[in-house]
Amino acid sequence: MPAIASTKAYAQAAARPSGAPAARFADLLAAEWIKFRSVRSSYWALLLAAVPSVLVGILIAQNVSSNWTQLNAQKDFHFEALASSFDGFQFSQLVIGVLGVLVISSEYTSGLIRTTLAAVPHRHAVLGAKAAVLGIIALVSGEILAFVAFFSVQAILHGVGIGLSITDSGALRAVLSAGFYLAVIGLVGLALGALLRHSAGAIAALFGLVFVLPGVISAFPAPWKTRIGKFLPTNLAGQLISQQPHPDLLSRSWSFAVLLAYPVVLLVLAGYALKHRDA
Amino acid sequence: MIEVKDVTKRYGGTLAVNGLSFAVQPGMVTGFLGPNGAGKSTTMRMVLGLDSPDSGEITVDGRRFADLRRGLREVGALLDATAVHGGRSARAHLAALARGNALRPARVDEVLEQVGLAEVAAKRVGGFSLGMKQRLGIAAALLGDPRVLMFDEPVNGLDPEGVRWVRELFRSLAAEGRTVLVSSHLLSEMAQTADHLVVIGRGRLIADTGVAEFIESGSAGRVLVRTPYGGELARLLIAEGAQVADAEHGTLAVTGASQELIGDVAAKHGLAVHELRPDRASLEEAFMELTAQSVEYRAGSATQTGEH
Repeated sequence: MPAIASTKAYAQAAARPSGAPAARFADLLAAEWIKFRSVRSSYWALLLAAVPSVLVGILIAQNVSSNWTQLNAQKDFHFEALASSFDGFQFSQLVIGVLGVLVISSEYTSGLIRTTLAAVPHRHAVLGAKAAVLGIIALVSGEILAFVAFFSVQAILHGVGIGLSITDSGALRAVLSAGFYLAVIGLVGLALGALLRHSAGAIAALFGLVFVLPGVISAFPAPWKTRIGKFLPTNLAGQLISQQPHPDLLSRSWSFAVLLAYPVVLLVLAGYALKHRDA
Repeated sequence: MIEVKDVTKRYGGTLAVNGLSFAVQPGMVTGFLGPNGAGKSTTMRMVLGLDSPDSGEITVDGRRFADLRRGLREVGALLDATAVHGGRSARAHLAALARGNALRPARVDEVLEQVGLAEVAAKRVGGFSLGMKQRLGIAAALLGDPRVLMFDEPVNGLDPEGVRWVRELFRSLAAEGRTVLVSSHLLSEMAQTADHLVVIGRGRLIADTGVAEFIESGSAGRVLVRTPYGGELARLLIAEGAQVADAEHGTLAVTGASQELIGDVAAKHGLAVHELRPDRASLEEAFMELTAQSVEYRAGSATQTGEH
């Protein structure tokens, strides 16, 4: 280890007035962006989200188009060409959600959160910066994946004459919604991570919300199955990416509003908890 | 200056800090001393606003830390050297902290240089030894050039050269007029680093005093003298009113006489003295005794009280 330089370099510091301007929110955004891009797991997560989201859609489309004549002959066969573009998002939503959890839970498991909050005592600003950075990353990558998935799946479906173009009615709305949904789940993950402060617990809660709960609620008796089920994130997203609105689900605008409310409400709760709990 | 005023903090059924009051003055190194579990880390976390006291108040230069916007510029703290993301490089770790407090980016390389980590700045922190992580934690504390610095057990994992370096660092920070609080559970460590001591046990204040005074009271002035003229010197010292006992290897254990008096007596009578030193062992013993009632866990016995 090399010898240590003296502390003279900042000897005048003790006399420096403390009236430095408050750190701007942009500084916190920049800090969180440095944190995000300085760990490899971020890149792995984005890659892991990208591959299945496109690949699964392509495989299903290939399967459908190669068996199209037989399938189409079946009486009860129904194929949603538009929504099928995003079949792979079932997997990528988990990866993005886990990424959101880890943005904050990794700070709790390592203890780094104390350094973070001692450096920036304004806790709401810290959470806000984390949410903004993750939200933008998840939204941008979500939209890119949604467009790539749409165009590759529809290109295959064009071969059997059922492919859609982006200018077709509802197509753009569905693509934008699919990308938006990934950002929602990423932020839900972040809020769960901040509330539960444990990676495993928060990831379990996230899986419960997007995988387990839909199964449980679909086993409910008749009116309740849909009455509760239509508020699940997966069904809200399903309504937004389908060509025809499903009559049992919430309207499209309500679906969008409720979907947006998930991260907003959870982040407000997380902000309250972060502010009032010992770090 | 850090001011702790009548602070109490309870975690569930455990009283971690109990009516604690003390002030940490600028311009000197203050040792924060106490056995493990005495409440040192809890107190430091409360200074930083990470944990909030159940009652009482803590201010840093007259203000509550939680009201400050840019923490690093006010208080630099090393709480837990291992509290870093192992996948991030040392430089990235500091760069994020610097950016969040709107500090000059060049400051990162300055502190890395200062703590001796410049060569490993691009390496991932996960591969660092505990000593290197301590240096990184110290770098983070220095980053914002703060007037108040706190270090929780900073010498853990440091090699002897590193220990000597941090002692010099703390003294020079204090010499610049900063407030420096350093915690330890070892009195011998603090005796060599601190000017002033705040001693706590079971969350209560035991002593708030100068190091010299504390050692004086703790060691009861016991001095070890190694001399080939043991019998003669002993006789002379007893005549001066001191108590003298035989320690091992031709060494006298003297109480009731200062080092100065012993040296003067020996010189006056032309008796060679090979060694003259305060009895550090008795110092640690005295510290143990002083905090014995306050030790939370002890080998061979369960917790002392039924609080848990």
